[in-house]
Amino acid sequence: MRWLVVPLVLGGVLASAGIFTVSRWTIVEPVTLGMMEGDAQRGAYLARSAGCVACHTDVQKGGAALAGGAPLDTPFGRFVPPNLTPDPVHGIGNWTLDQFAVAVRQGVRPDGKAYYPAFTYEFYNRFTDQDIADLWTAFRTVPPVPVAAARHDLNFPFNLRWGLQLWRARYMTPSEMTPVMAQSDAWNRGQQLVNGASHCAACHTARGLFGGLDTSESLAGNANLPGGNKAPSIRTEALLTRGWTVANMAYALRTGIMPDGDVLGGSMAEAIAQGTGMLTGRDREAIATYLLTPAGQTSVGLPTPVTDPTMGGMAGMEGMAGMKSGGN
Amino acid sequence: MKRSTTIGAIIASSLGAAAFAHNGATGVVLERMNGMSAMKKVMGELAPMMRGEAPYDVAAAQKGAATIMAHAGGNMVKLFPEEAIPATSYAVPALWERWNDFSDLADLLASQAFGLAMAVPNGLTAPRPASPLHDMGTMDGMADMSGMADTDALPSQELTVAQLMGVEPTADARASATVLPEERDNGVLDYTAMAAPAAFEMVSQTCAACHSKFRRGS
Repeated sequence: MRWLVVPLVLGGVLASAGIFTVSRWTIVEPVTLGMMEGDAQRGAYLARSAGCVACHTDVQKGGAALAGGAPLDTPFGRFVPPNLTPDPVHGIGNWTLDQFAVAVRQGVRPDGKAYYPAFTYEFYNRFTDQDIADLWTAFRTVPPVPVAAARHDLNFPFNLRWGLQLWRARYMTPSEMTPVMAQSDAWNRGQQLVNGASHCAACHTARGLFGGLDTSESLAGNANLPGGNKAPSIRTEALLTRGWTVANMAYALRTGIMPDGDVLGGSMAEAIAQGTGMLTGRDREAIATYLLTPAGQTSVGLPTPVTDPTMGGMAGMEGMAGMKSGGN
Repeated sequence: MKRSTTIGAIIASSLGAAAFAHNGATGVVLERMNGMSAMKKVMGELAPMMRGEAPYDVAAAQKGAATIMAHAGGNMVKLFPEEAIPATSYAVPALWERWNDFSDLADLLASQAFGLAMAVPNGLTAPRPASPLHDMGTMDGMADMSGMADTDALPSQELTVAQLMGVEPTADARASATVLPEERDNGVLDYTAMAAPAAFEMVSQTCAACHSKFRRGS
């Protein structure tokens, strides 16, 4: 048996060294915003559009603003959105602006460890320095709450935070957006919201075994949302066949009423009540304009007309089934 | 053209209904599916009118409000006897676990549909700027609820930092289903002074609140 000792010890040492190396892997790009001035109104609007407030506030239970959100039950375990109030101990009151910037845009904590992608930082990577300063200023207007949110309760091996270093290398998909001169202001603004702050893909794009976004099926829907919810496809062609227009989508993003009259429930009801419903009408139209403009075109597509009775029946059924019509 | 579209729509909807029947819902599940579908139809018909896209039709809107009233409140909850949930149903167990929440929402829907019927004659704009929904906002806030076809009244420009950050409730939230019924029905809502689209949106907020709590999927 003695002969086993050496390889086992050696193996153990190598594994520890591997984990040590991975966990020390520097993942932060340094940021220097210094004392940059922020605009609270602009920051608050961004905090609302980006879902910071919705996710980190337990609205259903009447929790204080940003003091920690409702738990998110996922196949990896339970995530609890932490306290982001300016409390120095239980919140982020003793952070610097630079640390805040790294957390939001890069998904890395002040201690250099990575956040889980349940925090949708992948969508915030294009926030400008000014956006960050504005957000920071707005966050600091919220009353501090001296209570820590509960800790995450994750299953092995997902509870090993160093594993996130590997996850980032393999799966992290920072948001992409390219302003297009030929497109309208609404389209460009919509792209910024859909692919960035409003992070539609976080729910409407399927995730792989390890929670990475399946970018090849971007916005094509996700049948496995936390809590048993489903997100339908919001790709242009899918939306057009279901009768969406800029006007009715902008309206739905405030009221939840879909073209067929069904009213959105699930987590979208919360996304509307705590998010898109509080945006400007112009921004809701921008989101709709971007989503409803077919790739490579510069104008919004027309909803599929129902003319041929046979085809009409097909389209109607598909649309209704897709939207859970008449559900009860 | 118009006629063929209409015929197409009729066929489409009957095929759609047939598709549901084939899902196998029977008995009380089918009954409530029919009730929900009737309300859905009303919401779908009235929404373009409330957005100012379709001609405003007082009679149709009032009929719609009456349809919702008929399927809300006691008539709705009596269709949800406690029983094993069949696979054809979209109901979730929480509906029976939090029965009072559910029946409060059903009652709220009935009273809001009644409110809608009262607000319908006002049309798309409030007869006078007296809606209590906006006592926290500025006059500009009225634009949002006035139903000027637009969703465009930039409501958030009137939202304060505290409202956006979730520190203070918005005027909208106070009217929504997240508020306790007794607070809400405290006589503060004067539907006769409300623009129809505002009353209509309150109905939709209640639908959304109930669906998000008690309906499977989305």
